[in-house]
Amino acid sequence: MSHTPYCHTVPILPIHGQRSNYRSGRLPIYEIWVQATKSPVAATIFVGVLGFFVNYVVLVACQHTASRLTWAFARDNALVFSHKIGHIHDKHEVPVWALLANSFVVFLLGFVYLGSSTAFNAFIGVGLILQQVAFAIPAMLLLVQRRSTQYLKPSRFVKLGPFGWFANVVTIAYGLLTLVFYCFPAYLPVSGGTMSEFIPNLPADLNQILLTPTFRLQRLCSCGNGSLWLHQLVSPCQKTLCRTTTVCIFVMIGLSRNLRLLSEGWQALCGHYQADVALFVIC
Amino acid sequence: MSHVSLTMKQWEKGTDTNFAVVTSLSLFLVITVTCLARSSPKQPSSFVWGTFNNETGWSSTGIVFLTGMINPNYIFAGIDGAIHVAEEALNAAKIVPYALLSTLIIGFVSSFTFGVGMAYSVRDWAEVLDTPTG
Repeated sequence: MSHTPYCHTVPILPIHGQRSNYRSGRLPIYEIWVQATKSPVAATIFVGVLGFFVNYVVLVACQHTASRLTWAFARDNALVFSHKIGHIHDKHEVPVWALLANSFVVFLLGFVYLGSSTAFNAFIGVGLILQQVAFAIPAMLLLVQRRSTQYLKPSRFVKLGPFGWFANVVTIAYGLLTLVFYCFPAYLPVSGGTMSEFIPNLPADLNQILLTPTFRLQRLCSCGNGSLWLHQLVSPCQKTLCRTTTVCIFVMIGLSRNLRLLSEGWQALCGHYQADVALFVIC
Repeated sequence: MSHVSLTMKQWEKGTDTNFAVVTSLSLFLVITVTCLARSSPKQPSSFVWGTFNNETGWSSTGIVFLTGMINPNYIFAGIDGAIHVAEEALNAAKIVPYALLSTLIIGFVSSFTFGVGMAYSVRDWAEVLDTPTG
């Protein structure tokens, strides 16, 4: 999900309001640079240049790619205001409304960060797990089904040969590995707040979790450009299979976790017990 | 570290993105060289290559390693960007795999060098871990 690094840069805006964070909250990399260069000035310049320049460029790159993804969702009529968001500007030839819609969602995510940084981290963390799983599913299909020479011609530019098999196997293994280990808490002993940054968010994000990987797959498969190697991968029954597998995986994770921990993370976001009821209904 | 995300736009051949790639790689070089040149004393190689800090509470170093992979993973979170804009690319069959592979290679080489350089340069590791987000 290209939104992920983008979200990283956005909390800069709300943090600007909390000046004490700047003074007391040193970054680890800043501390390393102070120690290495023996000059707080040099370290500050490094952080400043990296922080502003790199964030700016990454912001543009992520907006660029993410807007195309949003536009593709809207083109398949999968979003609210799809007819608007799926429109491409006549003169500039870019999806202007998709860009604006993305910016708006990211703007709202900034408020989540103000409310609970754990909830915010959960949003971006779930993206990472989903990304690995979304990569693993097509890789698995490639191994099972082979590639059609109609789309991957023998004369193609990039030919990985046996290394392609190796890469696909590693992708699947890594997807399974991250699915398990990224849900582990980073520190022990565990409390409701430190459980895992991903797990408390699961119910809140359930809808997206269930939809995103399958939509991604469909998006890749319905891509008009015949050069994409996923084009021939997925038949309708496999789409159903993918969707069912994904749903099962996430429902299993959700059920295997302690419901109380889930509700604590949920409350951090919503702050009242109605959320508990909603959570229970969702689960 | 973020030049990984930047290079994915390299294939666009825009001056904007070329500028971004060149600048971010220059920043990486400047910072790594400055830190290595200025720091003294250096950490011994046994610290850089042979020490494994585990202050997480987990008894298994394997679990610490695997859960710790999440941070390097963030670096490559934007790698699918090149695929999403494939429809707009000229000669996508050639340029998209090129973008993906170059991103991985440049990202791995530069971030590995950066990590090793910083590990040699750091003086007091406990102080680094003591930062609120460490």
